[in-house]
Amino acid sequence: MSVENKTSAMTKLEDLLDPSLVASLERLDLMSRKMLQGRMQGERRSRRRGQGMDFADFRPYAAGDDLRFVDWNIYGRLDRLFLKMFLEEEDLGLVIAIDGSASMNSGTPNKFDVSRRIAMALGYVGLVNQHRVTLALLQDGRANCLSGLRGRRRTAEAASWLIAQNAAGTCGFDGACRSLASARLGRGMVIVISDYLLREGYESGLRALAGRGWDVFALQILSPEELDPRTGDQSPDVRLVDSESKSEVEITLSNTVVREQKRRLESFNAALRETCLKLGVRHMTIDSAVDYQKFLLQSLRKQGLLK
Amino acid sequence: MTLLTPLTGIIAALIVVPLLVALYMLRLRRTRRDISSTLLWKSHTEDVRANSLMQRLRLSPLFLLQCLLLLLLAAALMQPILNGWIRPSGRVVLFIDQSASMQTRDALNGATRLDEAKRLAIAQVESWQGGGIFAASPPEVMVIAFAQDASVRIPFTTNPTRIREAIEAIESTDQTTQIGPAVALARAFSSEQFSELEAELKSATVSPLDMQLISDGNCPDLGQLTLRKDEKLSWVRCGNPDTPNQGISAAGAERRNDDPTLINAFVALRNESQTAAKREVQVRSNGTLIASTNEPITLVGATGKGATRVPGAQKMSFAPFALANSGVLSVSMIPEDAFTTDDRAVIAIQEQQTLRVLLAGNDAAVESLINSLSSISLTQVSCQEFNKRVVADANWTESFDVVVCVDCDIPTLTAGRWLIFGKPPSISSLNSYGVQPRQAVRTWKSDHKVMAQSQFSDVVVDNAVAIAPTSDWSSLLEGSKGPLIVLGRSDKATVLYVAFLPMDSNWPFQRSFVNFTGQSIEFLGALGSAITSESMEPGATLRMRVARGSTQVVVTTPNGDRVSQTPIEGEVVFGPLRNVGVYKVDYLNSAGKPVSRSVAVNLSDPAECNVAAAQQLNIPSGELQPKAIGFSAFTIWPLIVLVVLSLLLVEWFIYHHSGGST
Repeated sequence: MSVENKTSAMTKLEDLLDPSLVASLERLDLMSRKMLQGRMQGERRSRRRGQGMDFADFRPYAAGDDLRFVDWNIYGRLDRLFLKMFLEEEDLGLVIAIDGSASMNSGTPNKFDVSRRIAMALGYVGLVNQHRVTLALLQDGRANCLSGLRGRRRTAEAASWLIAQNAAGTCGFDGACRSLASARLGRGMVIVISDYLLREGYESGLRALAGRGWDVFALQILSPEELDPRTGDQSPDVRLVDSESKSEVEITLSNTVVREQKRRLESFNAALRETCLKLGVRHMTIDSAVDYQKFLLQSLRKQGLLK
Repeated sequence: MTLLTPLTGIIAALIVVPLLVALYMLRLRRTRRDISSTLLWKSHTEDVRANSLMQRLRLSPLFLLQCLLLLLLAAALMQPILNGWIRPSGRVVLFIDQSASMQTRDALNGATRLDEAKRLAIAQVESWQGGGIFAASPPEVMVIAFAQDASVRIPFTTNPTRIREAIEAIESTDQTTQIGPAVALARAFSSEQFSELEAELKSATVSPLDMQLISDGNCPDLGQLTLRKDEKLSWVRCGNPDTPNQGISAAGAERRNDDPTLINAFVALRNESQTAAKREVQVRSNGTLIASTNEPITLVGATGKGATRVPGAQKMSFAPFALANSGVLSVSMIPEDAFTTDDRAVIAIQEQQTLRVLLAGNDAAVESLINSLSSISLTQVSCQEFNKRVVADANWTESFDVVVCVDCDIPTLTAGRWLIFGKPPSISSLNSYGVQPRQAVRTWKSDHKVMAQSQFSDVVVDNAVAIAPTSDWSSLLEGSKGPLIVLGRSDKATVLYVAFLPMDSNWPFQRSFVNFTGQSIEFLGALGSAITSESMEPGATLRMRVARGSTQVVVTTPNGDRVSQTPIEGEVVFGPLRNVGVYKVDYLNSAGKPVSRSVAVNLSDPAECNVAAAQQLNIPSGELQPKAIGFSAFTIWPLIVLVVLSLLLVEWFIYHHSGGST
């Protein structure tokens, strides 16, 4: 017996992003819980005063100010120069980080494949809405990034990068997150897609991301086999082989063991949720067998990640 | 409880139980399953198997259940049986009683005792065969069916199918019971394979002969059965000791002297049970009812007080009825009881015949006696005349049924049946050698038909011919100095020789002389057919004289079987007679005319008609109590296998309820 761990053969954009989904995604935008400072003018309201459309405040004119923003009506009534201040519309930094460890390369459907599809869909939403999109692969303690993507025309480039990635080796979640946090990507939203079954733990890495002021969204993806060990092969006496460490566990999948395993997974997920809550990180767990279109268009909107 | 093959079970247990333990200790051969992470599985320490070849034995319910199953199966292999059943070793002889009393229907479901005996015998044999492939060899079994005579139905064999077939083929008879010939037959067969020396050499190792008697116990000669030291006799009883029986003890008919066309019939009944019973008697002639009792007759119990001289006996006669020709009278007692063989009797009545008797010599006593007999045609000649006629025609004597010679010289004994008084015929086998004066009678053969119903102890002979007959002659009357009356054959003549003249003794003044003379003429001339044929007993041999030159002789039994016979010297011999009823002899006489004669066979033996099964058997070596067989031989291993199957179901339930593992 063996569980299908091979990634599917993805060769083109359509393999990652269903064309029928594109129209639906174009109507969506990412929604951060924080007012984040962008780098470029964009389509997102910022706390910074700037050249946006929404009026924010007045302030006295100072030498050098742009005369176009002087409120001449007030000058006529008060004979003093006041400058109109508008809310700046800035872009949003969106970082989509995928766990690239071998543990993601398992399950039916393959967790890494589903992760890449979700990343592509969310990235497309970001590109369409003129956000600065960064794709990152967390692997072997490092963050392999494709940054500086903006605009619809970078879609193909993002897709090619995702297709080229493989899940292998370890994650090194802590180091990879620190590496990502130290990268000069500006502030924004970070979506971390992983199964979070990490021997080294996940708290330190999430803390590093959240500590940089990013709006972090932890998306936990688990395969059906992980949610229910009885799924797939029915043989009760199994030798479980860890995809990363290659360590083995011999076990008999009795009702008691399966029941206990489910209870432990629930405890693990509860601990992850608690950690995320403590760090101000949004969290969501999905099954890799989920209908990811429905997940994007309904579940993430309910979670407030998309609008 | 006895274990037939304990060693087999122990060996099996010693092999399979450690094997099961080893299997549980061996590491499971598990299916590889790649998963993303074993992070959450690591803590299932109780299910983690060590990577070594062996692991610590953990006592799970399934393991204990499987151990129990294996131990039970090992116990089943030991073939436990209930106490009281021991498989005999060596050779076993099954004596199955097929006598008349075994036809009593007092077994279960209205079966006869013989059916029950066969069923018990088969059950016994099958119980010996049991035990499966690990059992010890079953005993060699020989089956002997016996009644008045005995026959080996199957010699020693271990083939259960052949034994069963042989037992099932045993048929009922109406004969009396004699165990002696059966035991002699068994002894002969059990030692036939060995020479005397071999038998002596093997006596130390050969298993004793195990004889098992399956019978109702009504064997009168058991008192004479002496067991040898290597013989063992056990008895399985068939039948109920309390079965009552009433029957016809005798039935007869005779033509009246004054009117031979009229028949007088009489019947004697017998009640063997302790209580009184009421019975009706009917007499039928060739199927037509001709006489019956007006109302049921009360038969007093055998131990009860009644008007009859013999307790339980009742005699009756019927009004004369006409029957000019031959026929068969059947007497039946109504209602019938469990033993029906003696509830019916048949009487064969022959056509009226006249016996032709030639008397040679002058003896007033003999002449007057012959003349007094009914249906006799007497021709009397002197000795001289007799010799002349014999010399002239050697076949002259054969034209008479009986030739009686009194003190005549008989130079040539021609064919025929002779009753000779005084001078001996000139035949070498008699070996006459002089005269023996003054003799008293020492003994006589009272069971011979000629000597029956007579006392000879008071006979004193003054002058007798001294004879020393050869061994093929039988002495009917033995005097103090030699035989006085002998019976034998010489060439084509049957001779009843009285070695003295009646007038040289006091015999003519005694009743035995009258009985002897009449019975001798009846015996020699088969005179019974002239009046009514006497009833024969089952087991006897039918001997019937037919005219010389008769052909196509066929004997028809009561069952309807037709058996062709070839008469030897004018006599048809058939037997032994196995069943009651009418035996019919048909033949063509020398003139080609068909002749038919009937012989009635009835059971009247008191011992055989007492059908109450014996409480115990009394043999010279002690009392023999009945034992049970067959059903006490209860094997337990099928029950154990049943329990094992039930436990397997429990194990299946536990296994699946726990999801494939505990």
